[in-house]
Amino acid sequence: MGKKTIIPFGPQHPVLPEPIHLDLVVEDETVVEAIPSIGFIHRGLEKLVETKDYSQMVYVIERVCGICSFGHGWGAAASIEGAMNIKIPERAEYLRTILHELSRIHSHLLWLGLLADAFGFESLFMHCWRVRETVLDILERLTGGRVIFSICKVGGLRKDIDNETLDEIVGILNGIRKETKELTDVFLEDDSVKNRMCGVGVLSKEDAAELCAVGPVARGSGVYQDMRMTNSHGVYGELDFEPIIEDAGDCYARCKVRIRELFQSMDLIEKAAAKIPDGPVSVAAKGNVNGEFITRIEQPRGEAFYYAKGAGSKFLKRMRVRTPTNMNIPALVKTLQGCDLADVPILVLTIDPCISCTER
Amino acid sequence: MGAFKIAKTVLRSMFEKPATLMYPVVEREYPERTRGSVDIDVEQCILCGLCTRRCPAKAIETKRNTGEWIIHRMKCIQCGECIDVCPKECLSRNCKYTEPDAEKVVDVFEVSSVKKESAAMAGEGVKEKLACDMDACVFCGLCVKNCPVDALKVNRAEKIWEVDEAACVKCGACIDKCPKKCLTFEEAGKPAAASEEKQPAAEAKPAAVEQKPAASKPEDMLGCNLEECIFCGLCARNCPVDALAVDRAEKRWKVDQEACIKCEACISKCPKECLFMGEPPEAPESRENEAAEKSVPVLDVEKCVYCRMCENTCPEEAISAEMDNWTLDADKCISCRACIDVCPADALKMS
Repeated sequence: MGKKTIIPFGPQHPVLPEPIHLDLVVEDETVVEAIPSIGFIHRGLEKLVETKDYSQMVYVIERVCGICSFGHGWGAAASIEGAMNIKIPERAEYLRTILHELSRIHSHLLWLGLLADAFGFESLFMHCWRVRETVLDILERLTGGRVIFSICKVGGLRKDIDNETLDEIVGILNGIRKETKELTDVFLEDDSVKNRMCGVGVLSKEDAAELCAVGPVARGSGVYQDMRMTNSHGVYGELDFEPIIEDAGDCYARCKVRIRELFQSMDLIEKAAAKIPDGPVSVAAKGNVNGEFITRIEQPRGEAFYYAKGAGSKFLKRMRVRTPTNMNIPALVKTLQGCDLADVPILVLTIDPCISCTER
Repeated sequence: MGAFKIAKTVLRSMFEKPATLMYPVVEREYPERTRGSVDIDVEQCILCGLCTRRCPAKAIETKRNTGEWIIHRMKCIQCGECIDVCPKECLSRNCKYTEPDAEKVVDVFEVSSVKKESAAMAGEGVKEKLACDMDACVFCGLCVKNCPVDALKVNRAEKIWEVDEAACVKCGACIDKCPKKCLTFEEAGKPAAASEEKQPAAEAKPAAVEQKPAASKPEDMLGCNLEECIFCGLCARNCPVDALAVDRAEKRWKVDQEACIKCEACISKCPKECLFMGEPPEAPESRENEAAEKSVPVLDVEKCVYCRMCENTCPEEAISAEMDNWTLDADKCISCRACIDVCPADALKMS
């Protein structure tokens, strides 16, 4: 029997985009148990419903996270629109879908870069982020911001995006497809990378379902779950969407799910840009919020849940955001049991931790 | 499967230009929509304050009395709401943030002439115009005081309310301030609610006056029938200029006649109808029936949070708010609604 030691992981760690603390109970280089602590980035944003009216709350919720910011803006706006019984125009739904898929591409490229950094492959990290810059430039051109877009509002979008611009965007994305494929091939085919990922951190399908894992963590273990199938948001129903499922349940499978989703997003944007109807992009939102509504959005990290409740004044009574990493942390703790100490950074990254989403 | 799969990318990037710009020698070209800091063209600003109201971060202040437009640069979140809402389009978007500084930057802009004639507005087709519901208007003049461009005229004595449509900038400040909520924007084309009619005098106007301060007695002074008054304080709470002082313990009711703007908000709120302007009205006959049909507050137990504010506020001590045992003595209750006003959970309603 080896001696047990406790090694603290985080909140500062080179692989972590956001601070989370794990106490790793280690016995001779094997992690026996992992005890998570969160709370380093809690800002109390949900309490701001008391002082900011509902249209200003969309800006607040958008700033919950920088990586998944469009999804948060969409979820907040959609849940308030549902509570006020506002139906937004078709063109606005299409544009929101296109922007969200662009956001997914940038998020997955960011994650791929961080994963490469986690196993020390810095040049691959830099190349992934270089390709991501093209996507961020596209987003800046469409919305005005690289990270925080401020384009969703209650009632639709604040600005329209014309069809010529959309066609140009599709052209730019097609231009980076080849380069992206070369980079993702490194993740999937290179021997040294595969050695770090195959067979590491296996999460069985039963465990994934029981621990309520969401997003690519669940889909990498064979659980057939993707909010985009449910037609609860966006126009995915008209774009022939099929979720991407892998069965192995290890880090390699989760990486493969995200890479395939990246290319699938590029295809979805192309299809949506071809089918987008003309028309207005917003309706005026008059009056106060009276009622409650739930929206579920498939963020790049999984299912995010937005609840808005209003009681007749311009201030909402409650705005609750439940983000995907919140649900993936138990799955993380399970995969950490029995792994090597050197695999801990890879495993923590493989759930795509977005702790500022978790803590708001 | 293979080794060093990244070879192709690495070799190519060795012979390509670097992906980074040699900033600051080479400057980046920003796309058109990039949101940076906010610039203002002060000559056009009319200090309407719409930007102040819309800003989610409360980064903008508009001071009408000193003619200043102030922005706290570090609070600004670069959302562009102020730019979208400015009626004179004097705010514009800069693609860059403000320069870094050792202190939190506050930029103050002075608007040279606060009262400007918006010549551009005159003669243009007006989509909406400001209208006043003359039946509800009490000619208090609060709208005039708050108009940033002096577009309103109110004459209390002759019951005149007028708006200069060319000067009006549709900022809505008057609508916000009106205590009787009688101002709205209407579509042009609909007949305005008789903006120039004189309202027919409702009650007996002049006539000798009344009570309390035995000093000089001009015609319209606020008075209170002290026999009926229960000193609940609702009139003081609803006075927009804090001209009333009510002391429940000492049974005192006082009005500062000079501060009073005769808006009659107190008269409308008084539960015992003991306030009047000018001459005291005759006692209505229905008073005697009130006791029989008295409506008292009723508690919704689900909502109650047992804070006991109702018990503490009740002027007649009619409420006992113990846990699981909230009772109201209907004989003592005077229907003053003070408990309803103060309940934080909205759990009380009149029956």
